[in-house]
Amino acid sequence: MKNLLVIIVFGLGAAVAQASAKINHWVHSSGALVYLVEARTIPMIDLQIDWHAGSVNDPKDQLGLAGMTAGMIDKGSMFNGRLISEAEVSDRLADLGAGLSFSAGAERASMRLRTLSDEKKKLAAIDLASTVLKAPVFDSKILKREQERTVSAIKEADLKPETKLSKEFDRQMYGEHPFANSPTIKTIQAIKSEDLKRFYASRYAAKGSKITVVGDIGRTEVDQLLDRLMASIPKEAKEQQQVPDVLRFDKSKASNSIIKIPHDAQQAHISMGMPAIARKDPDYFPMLVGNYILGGGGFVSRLVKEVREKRGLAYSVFSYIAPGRQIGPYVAGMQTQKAQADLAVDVMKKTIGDFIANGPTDEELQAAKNNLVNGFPLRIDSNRKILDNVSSIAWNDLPLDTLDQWTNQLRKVTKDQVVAAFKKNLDVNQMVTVVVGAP
Amino acid sequence: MSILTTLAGRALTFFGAAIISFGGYAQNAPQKTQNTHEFQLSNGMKIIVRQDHRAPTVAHMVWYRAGSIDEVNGKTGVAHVLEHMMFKGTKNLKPGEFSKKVAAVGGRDNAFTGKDYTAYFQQIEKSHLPAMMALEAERMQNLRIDKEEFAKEIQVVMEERRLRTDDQSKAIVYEQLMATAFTNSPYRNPIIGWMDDLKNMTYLDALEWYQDWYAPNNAVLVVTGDVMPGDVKALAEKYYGPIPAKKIKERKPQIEIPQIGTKRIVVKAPAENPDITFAWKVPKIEPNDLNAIDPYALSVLSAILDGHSNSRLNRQLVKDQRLADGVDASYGMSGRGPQLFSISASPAKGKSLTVIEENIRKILADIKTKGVTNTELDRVKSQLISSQIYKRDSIFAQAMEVGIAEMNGISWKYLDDMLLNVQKVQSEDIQRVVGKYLIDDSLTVAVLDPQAIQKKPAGTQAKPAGMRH
Repeated sequence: MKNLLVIIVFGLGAAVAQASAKINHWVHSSGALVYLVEARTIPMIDLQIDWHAGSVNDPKDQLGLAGMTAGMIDKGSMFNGRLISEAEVSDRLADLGAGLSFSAGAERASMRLRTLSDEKKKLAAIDLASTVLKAPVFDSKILKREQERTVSAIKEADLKPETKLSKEFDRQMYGEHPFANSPTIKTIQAIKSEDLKRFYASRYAAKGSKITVVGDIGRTEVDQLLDRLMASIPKEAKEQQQVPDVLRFDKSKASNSIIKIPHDAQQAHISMGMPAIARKDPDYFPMLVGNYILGGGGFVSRLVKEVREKRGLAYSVFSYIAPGRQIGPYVAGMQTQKAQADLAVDVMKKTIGDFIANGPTDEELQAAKNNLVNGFPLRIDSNRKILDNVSSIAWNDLPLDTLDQWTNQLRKVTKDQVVAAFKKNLDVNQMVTVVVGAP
Repeated sequence: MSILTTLAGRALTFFGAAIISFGGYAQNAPQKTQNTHEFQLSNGMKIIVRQDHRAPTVAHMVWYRAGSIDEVNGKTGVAHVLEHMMFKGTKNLKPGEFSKKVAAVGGRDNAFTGKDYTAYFQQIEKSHLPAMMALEAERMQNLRIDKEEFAKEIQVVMEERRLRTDDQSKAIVYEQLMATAFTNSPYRNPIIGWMDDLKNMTYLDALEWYQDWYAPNNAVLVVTGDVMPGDVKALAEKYYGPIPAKKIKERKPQIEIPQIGTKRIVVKAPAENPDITFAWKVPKIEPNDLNAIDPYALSVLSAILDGHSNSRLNRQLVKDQRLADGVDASYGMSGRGPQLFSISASPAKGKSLTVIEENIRKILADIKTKGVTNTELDRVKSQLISSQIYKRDSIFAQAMEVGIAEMNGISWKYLDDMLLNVQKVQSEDIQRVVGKYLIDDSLTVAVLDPQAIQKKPAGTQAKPAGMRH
């Protein structure tokens, strides 16, 4: 579940700025915070609503509650005393050529609506979304079906080395923190229709939600559409999401631990890392630039050179930082045939350790900054990319000029800052290594 | 490299949802012909430029008509291995220098190999287009395949095979299905190659492949984004123009022999849930007969079966009868080789594959006898039209669409007409293609028989490092 969050938040790591992605921000009368980027060339609109309704507060015996709630919202609603069935919702969306989806990560639950900007279709799509949000029935028979499907998916996923790896790695990163948890068959089966209703009614509200709109639409019209949409949910949430702080590892105790989990797969799957920084940390840009050099920069990173190019150990090797509202981890990962797993761990450790100890060369730093600065236009050259970036800015409470300042922030990063940030936030002797399919 | 290898290969031949594969074909013809221009260099290289001035970025792609379909026995996987070697140095570039130069200008580069083609691309801010052309032109003519570099890279490819195929039960089933459905077509071999062929491949095999197929007259350049056609033409003449054409060797047709009865296989692989796939040999869009209606009818059928969450398969098998936890229908509408129409399902707990099979047959028989509704047909068209507009959000997707069509022998100029053909499909057409093609004699059925993985003793769970908080 956290993986979703990680990916979304990391998307911001890749974000950059351009005058054309001008964010128009205001507070809607319902209390929702709106972030609009007008993009008029294609007759389409993307709208995303983010609520503080993630899985972080799932009861221990009902892990998966937030995710199941999000997944069930569009599976039937009451409207003017009539049931709008999940079949009808699905058919009407298809007839409009629109897309509507709900999902939940660790901290946020999201609705995404994509529609053509054609007057009739746009209004019909918003009406449908309003109907869906108004009174989801959380039908217990459909819930049973979704539970069965989820259970079968969990069973299948749990056989896979990559799932075992990510679950154990989360446990190691977060310890007692709820981010460490994943739903199990038992916790999924323990969820009742009433629990979904209660969770939905108490968490999905207008005030404090973040709404990002990108496309062929202006402010006045967005306000009008939101009047209809937000009338479907309560103004204020009955319960506020509580997110405990993620803690860094205790620096006084070097652990250097390697957790080995046996598996029959041909390849061993390896992750290595530790909690690092939050998105608002001033070290964000030095960490971003440094990680590009170490493991983020695709074919030109040090990890790729050492692991893939020099030794042919893996097809895929990478590292990333995943900062969010909370401290997120630095993670390095790869897969290699079992017999080579120990060698691979050694090479990864040495490569990461060297970088933390000595930092980048001047040439590497320049190349990284060149890539991140010059590549900036590619990060916002579609409505979808702009939506991802702006919704992350909204979610993380970042300044509205984050995109405009992006390349400046990168240009300012010095070698000393990279060295200092890596030394301060990372320590190779503290990192946890998990190997699934260890020899 | 080859991030998209498997994906692209499948999108074309098997998993590509029929209707979606039409995405990107512009909605109205006049606008598109204004936006798209085609030239040919004197060495035979085709250049296609599509203007899209929304953002100052460009997708630059070189497509070679050389994919796994062109490989011969004992050398499967060589198209893809060569793709990897294309990043390993040329006369004027050291190994890795290509990607380094792309990275320096903020670009993203990669490549992918499919059954029908191999393609290389960069996404860049528009001012760097000349530098990208210089790089691609260099490796089109001056590749150096070093024995030592090859020895390391073939290990990387074998890791890629382990990752994408050998440790993935569904990929194993797909590989076995293809090898069973096709008897003599090279489509029976996986794009990534059989492991034994990879183990025995030498740098000379890769070199031979490069010499046989990498030439401007076997390539198409597709550039989309914030460019002017005249500028692209001038640049292409400068960088690609001087590369001499080669005599491209004769391609044997290797037409798949007719199937004469159902084939059934059972594949044992580590998995929790069983799975069943039905794959029929069906016609595809032929470049010399673009208006034959049957392929379009098959694509609409695929959307009616599995185009949205309440379409027939999902509604009946997953929701109403609770027989399956998941279903899928797909059709490879075009390609250089023979195509399949497939339906797969994974049964709900306690439901048998036999019951699933009976009900899939019932759903098809129902369409054959009663046809489909106008509502369903309109829905498919409406989804198709909106997907055309959404596709315009990505210049990369537009370049992909043009390139894939060109590789299959279909010019971008006909894509609009093909779109209109989809809209011409009537219920009778769908009834006819079900009766004519989805028949037992051309059917291959593959069943995944899940095998428990070895259970290791529990109780060794490590203490979370987080305890140190």
